[in-house]
Amino acid sequence: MDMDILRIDDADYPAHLRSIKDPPLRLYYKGDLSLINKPAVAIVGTRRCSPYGRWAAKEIAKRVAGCGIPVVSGMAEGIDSAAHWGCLESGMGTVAVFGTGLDVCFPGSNRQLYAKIASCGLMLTEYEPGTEGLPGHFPQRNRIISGLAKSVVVVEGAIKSGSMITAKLALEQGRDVYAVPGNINQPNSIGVNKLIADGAFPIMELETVPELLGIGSGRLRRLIDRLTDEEKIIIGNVLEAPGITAEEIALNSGLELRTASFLTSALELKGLVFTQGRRIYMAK
Amino acid sequence: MYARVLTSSVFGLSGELCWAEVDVEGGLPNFSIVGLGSQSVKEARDRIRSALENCGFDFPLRRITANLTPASRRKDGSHYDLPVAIGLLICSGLIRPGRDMEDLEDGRTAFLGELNLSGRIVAVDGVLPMVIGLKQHGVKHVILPEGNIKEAMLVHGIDLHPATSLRQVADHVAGFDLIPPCIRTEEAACAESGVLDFSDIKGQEAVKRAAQIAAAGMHGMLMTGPPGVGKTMIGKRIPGLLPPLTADEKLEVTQIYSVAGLLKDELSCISARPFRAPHHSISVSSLVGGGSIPRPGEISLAHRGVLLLDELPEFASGTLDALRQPMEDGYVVINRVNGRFAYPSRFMLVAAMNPCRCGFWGDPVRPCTCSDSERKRYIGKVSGPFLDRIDLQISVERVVYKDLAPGRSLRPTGTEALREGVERAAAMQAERYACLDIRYNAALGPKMTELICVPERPAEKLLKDAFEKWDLSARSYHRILRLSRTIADIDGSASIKEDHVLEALQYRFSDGMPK
Repeated sequence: MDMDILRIDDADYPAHLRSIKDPPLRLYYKGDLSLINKPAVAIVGTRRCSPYGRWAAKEIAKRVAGCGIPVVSGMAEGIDSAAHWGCLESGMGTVAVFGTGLDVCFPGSNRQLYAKIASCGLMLTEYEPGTEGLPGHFPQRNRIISGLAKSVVVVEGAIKSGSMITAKLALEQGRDVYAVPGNINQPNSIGVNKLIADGAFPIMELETVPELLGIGSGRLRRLIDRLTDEEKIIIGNVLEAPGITAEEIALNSGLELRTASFLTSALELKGLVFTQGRRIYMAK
Repeated sequence: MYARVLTSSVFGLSGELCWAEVDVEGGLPNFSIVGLGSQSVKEARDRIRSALENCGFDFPLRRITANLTPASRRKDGSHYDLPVAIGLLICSGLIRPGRDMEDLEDGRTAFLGELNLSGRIVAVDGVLPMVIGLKQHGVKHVILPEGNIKEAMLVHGIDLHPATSLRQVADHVAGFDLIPPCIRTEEAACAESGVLDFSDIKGQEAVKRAAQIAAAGMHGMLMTGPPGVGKTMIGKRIPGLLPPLTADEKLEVTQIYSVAGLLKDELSCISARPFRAPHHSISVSSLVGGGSIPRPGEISLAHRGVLLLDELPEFASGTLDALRQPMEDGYVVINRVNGRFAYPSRFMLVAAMNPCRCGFWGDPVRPCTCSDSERKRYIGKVSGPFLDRIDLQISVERVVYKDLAPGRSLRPTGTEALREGVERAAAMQAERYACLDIRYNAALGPKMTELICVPERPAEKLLKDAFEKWDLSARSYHRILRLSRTIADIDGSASIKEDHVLEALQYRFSDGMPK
């Protein structure tokens, strides 16, 4: 199997991962490395999940992917798999962090998902090829999952579980932790409910997930999807630097000044941006 | 004995015929000039007396009456000296008109010029409109001061005889020594000296684009921005963007300068676009024209050129509001007891102002220290109706260091590059308005705007959306239509497309407060 190696001093090595307490010195990877350029959203949970948990993980993943943000998870059974599938079904590449060598598909039942991520996603691990799944490896790799994310969503998990370890690591790394509340008669709900009691953000409504996670509103995303490519460039620039002027956009993007200028009017008419003087701000 | 000699008077910008009649009779020696002359006309008596003596004539010691007819209109200026003196010489028999000059009384030859005491002829103001008026009335020859010959040469189809002294003119009239008419040489190309270039301005590309649009259609332009961002620099460079004056325009402009007495020797023809930048302490009458004997104001001196009003809110509010009518009509009318004077005033207004008293409102670096009400009061000094008449409004932002630093990819656009678009637009407009009394899009009235600036269907829908969204006034609607037309002209596009309307919408208001 062909794979590449990413070292901690490589320019491509994501800065947000480098800044955690014990970053992996090298990563074996296969797939689209650009997926981890920016902090992603991690969705983790128990392997023995309920149908509700599977549904919730998948739907949340779809919403995240809809905002153009990849989902990071561990490709385990249950919640992890549901999250990966949700992301892939939305047409977004997903990131799987392995607790084994890349050439090992663990668990074996995930062969289909493994093949899919290999073709349109990113898989990475700190273990050498051929390394089998050892119990100690999985909690270790969880620090990479949360390290690659800016938000970690825990869908289901018992008090003592890998998910709780991930949540704890995420907090240590300064990531935001979100939890999906569960029924109180299920062991797998107790962990997440306790997370909420301890201060994690509860996910209370599916539709507002993007706003809650701070990755843009779904409505905005849908509006932006309908724009022309040039208009998207303008929006991209305004999102990145509110208060930018058309001149600066022209300078950054290579668009002609007058194009940037009339597109700004078009976007104003669509209600996406507003201008104050010549500075452009997001209206939503 | 009676004699009469033709001369001319200027009312506003129109030169009219005026006869200098002189009558010499017996009686106590006296010399009076009647015909509603101003002080400078009355003083002609003393100048003429000395000039005659110093040219070797004996001043007749008889009762002399000179009358300037039509006698009911007020006359001003010193150019009546020469015709009165010639009339006096003829009727007192000091000279006898030569054979060629027998038609003097028919008004085939006119005389203009001021005399000094030694009898030399001095240049006067307003020669160009007088010569134009004389030619229109069928006069064939004009004898005028040599110092005015260059401006008079703008008029074709009339013989111009440059004179330097009263003696010379007397000899000419007597037929002893004729003054040959001036031979026209090819007009020397007036070197455009010291035209400022837009490439001096780094950054501010959006404002340069706005300046290009404004210049292309002669639209009014308002720049709002903190101090020191280059508003004045941009304003000063706009005349360089405008297409050169056409021959007709040169004549119009030179007439105004001639009447205002602003034609200096080297500058006997105005060939570059006028640029006037009056200080904000200017009075209404110096701005729009006035005085008991009306003179053109700054707005007429800026005719066919640029009028830059810097620090707009510092102008007295009455002063600015006096601009409203001339801006719409393209001329200003001054009514006086003795007449109604009209001066053209088709200028391009370029105004600049700060967004608030301290100047830093909306600035990303320096905080503004004005309260909201202070800001409103400051902006409120410029009346809404006045602002509504400025087609193009843009805010000028502070240039960040990276734009000033060398090696930026967006090279500063120069005047040459901007002018290309302006000239394309000028050609489009010339073609469109060939049989109309309009030259630029800015001159379109509401009705003409709706007739001529018709956007394509999708662009029209955009405009409608914009209207509902921003609640724009009917006047802003026309403003945006005119600007869209100009932007399309710069593109060389016959129809107004969506892009053009959208770009025009960028220039709708200047300080973030919809009007």
